[in-house]
Amino acid sequence: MNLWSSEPLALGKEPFDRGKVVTAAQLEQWEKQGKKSRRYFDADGDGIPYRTLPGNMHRKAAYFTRGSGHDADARYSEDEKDYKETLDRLRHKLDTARKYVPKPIIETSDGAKTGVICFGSSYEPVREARNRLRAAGLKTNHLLLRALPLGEETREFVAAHDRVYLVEQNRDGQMAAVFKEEWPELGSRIASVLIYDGLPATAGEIVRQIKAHEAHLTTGAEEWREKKLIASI
Amino acid sequence: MAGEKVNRIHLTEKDYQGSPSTMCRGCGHDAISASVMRAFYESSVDPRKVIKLSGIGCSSKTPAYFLGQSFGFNATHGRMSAIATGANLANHSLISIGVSGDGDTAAIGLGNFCHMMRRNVNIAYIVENNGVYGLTKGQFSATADKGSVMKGGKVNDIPAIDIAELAITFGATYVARSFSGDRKQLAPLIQGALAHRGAAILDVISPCVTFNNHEGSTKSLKYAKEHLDPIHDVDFIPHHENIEVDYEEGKDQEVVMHDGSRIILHKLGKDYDPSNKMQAIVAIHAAIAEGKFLTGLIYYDPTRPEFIEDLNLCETPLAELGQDMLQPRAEMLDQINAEFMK
Repeated sequence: MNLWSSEPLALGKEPFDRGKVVTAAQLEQWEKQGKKSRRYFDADGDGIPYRTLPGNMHRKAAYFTRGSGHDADARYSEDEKDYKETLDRLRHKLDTARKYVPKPIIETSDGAKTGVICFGSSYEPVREARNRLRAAGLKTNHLLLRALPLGEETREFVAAHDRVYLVEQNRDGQMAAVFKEEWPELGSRIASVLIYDGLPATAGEIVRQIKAHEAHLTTGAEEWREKKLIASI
Repeated sequence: MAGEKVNRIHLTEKDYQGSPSTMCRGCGHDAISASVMRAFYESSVDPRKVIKLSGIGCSSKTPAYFLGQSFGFNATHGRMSAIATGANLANHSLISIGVSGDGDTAAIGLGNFCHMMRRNVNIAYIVENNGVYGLTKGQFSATADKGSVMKGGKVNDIPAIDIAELAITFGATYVARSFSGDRKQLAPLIQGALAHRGAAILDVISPCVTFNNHEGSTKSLKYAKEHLDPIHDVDFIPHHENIEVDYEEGKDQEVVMHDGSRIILHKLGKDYDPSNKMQAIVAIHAAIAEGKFLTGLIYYDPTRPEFIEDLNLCETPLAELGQDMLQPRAEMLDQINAEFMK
C-alpha cells in the first residue's frame, strides 16, 4: 500500500555552486589590492553581495547577521537611510533571481490558442485534463511553473495566449494574484481554476471548470450561470 | 601594546570584546557578557573559531557585545536551537555559544530547545533569565515564579518552568545555574560549558533593572542575592594548565572534562554529586519549595555521546567536503536504485 515508483535517481551533472563565497585567500588578495570586504555592499550591481562562511579564519571574515537593521558593512544601524537601502537592494536581488531560478517547462500543441498554467501536484491531473479537452476539441499549450519570482518566459507565455487558465489548489487564486501584480496589463487574460475541496485535484474537475468558463465566453453570462448551476447539481 | 597581559594564544582581553552595549545601565545581561568574555579569554579560545547564536529579545542582542571577531547569527524568535543544530551539523569544528532569554527559550522556542537537548547538540547555551519580556515592557514570562508581582501590581498565578530541571529531563549533559552578578562562579561554569562536548545549559538569573527589579519580584537583584543557594564554589582549570590542586577529603570534587580540563567543586556543607540525575532533580524541587535559587554545576554526564557522534559524522566538517566526497559514485547510485527495485 502507498508504494510508488519514480524514474531511477540520476546524479546531478552541474558542479556545486555556493554563489559569491569569499575564501580567506581571496580576502588576503583583496587586502593587497586595497579592496575592502563589505558584507552587504552591492559591488557587482546585481543586488548580491559577497559573503564569507563561518570557519573562514581571515580576521576580516566574521560578521554578525541579523534582520535588516544593518548598514552595507553589517554594522548595527537604526538609520532609516540604511534600512531603505537594504530593502531596495533586496528588491534588486529578487529581480536578479528571476534569471537564475528554475525555468518553466512549456509543452505546446499545434494551433492552440488557449494556455494552461499549473505548478506542483496539479501537473498530472492537468496533463490528463488537457488530453480530455483535446478530445473535446479544445487544444491547449501548457506551462509548468517551477519557481518564483516569475520570469520572462512565463510573461511571454501569458502574452502569447488570448486566454490562460491558471490551475491552483486554494480558494483565493493566490498565484493568479501574483501574476496580476507582476503584469497588470495581462491580468484580463488569466482565468482561475480553483480546487479547494480538501481532496486531491482531479482531471474531471479541471475539465469541468474550463468547459464552464469556455461556455460562458461563447454563450453569454446568463446561460453560463445556468450551466454552472446544472453542473454543480 | 607592550606589557599588556595576554593569554596562551597571545590575545588580550580587548580581543574578546564586541560593540558597545545598548542594554539599560545595570542590566544583568551586561554582567553575563563580561563573564562570557572572561571565560573565553581564560580558556584561550580563538574567537575566529567561535560562532555566536541567539534568537530575539534583550538577551539575544548581547552576542553583538562580545567576541567581535566571531561570526554571529541572530535567528528568528525561539529558533536559535534549530539554527544551532544545523550549524553544528554543517561545521562541528566550530565552537558554539548560544545566548537566549526566558521567552525565547521557555515560551516560543520551547519545542526547538527540547529537541536540541534531546539530541545533545554540542553548544554552550546561556539563558539570561529575568522572568519578564523586557523588550515589550515587562510582561511575565514562562519562568516568572508563582506569586511574583509585576511592576504594575499584577500577581503571577501560574507556576514557572524551571529551565535547569527541563534541561536535565530532556537530555542536556551539562546543566548549571548561576547569577549574573556572580562572575566568580559564572565564568568558570561557562569555561566548563565550553570544554564540554554536548548540550551545556546555563540558566543564569539576570535581573531586569527596568521592569522586574521592584519589591514583590522574585527575580530582582535584591531577591536573587538573598535567595541564592550555591551547592559549591567552582574553579576551572583549563587542560593546558598543569596545576596541582590540594583536595580536601570529602570536601572537594574534581570533574574531568572531555578535553582534559578540570572543574573543581568545593562543597559548601552539602553532600551533592552532580552525576546523580535523580538527586539533581530532587535538589531543584527542594530549592523551589524553599524559594531558593540552587546555583552551581547541578548535573553533569560526560558519558553520553554528542549529536554528531550519534550520527557517525566524518571528522571533516560537512561544510568543507567537496563535491567528490558528498556525491555518491555512479556505480554506488546504480546499486541504490537497484535496491529500490527489489
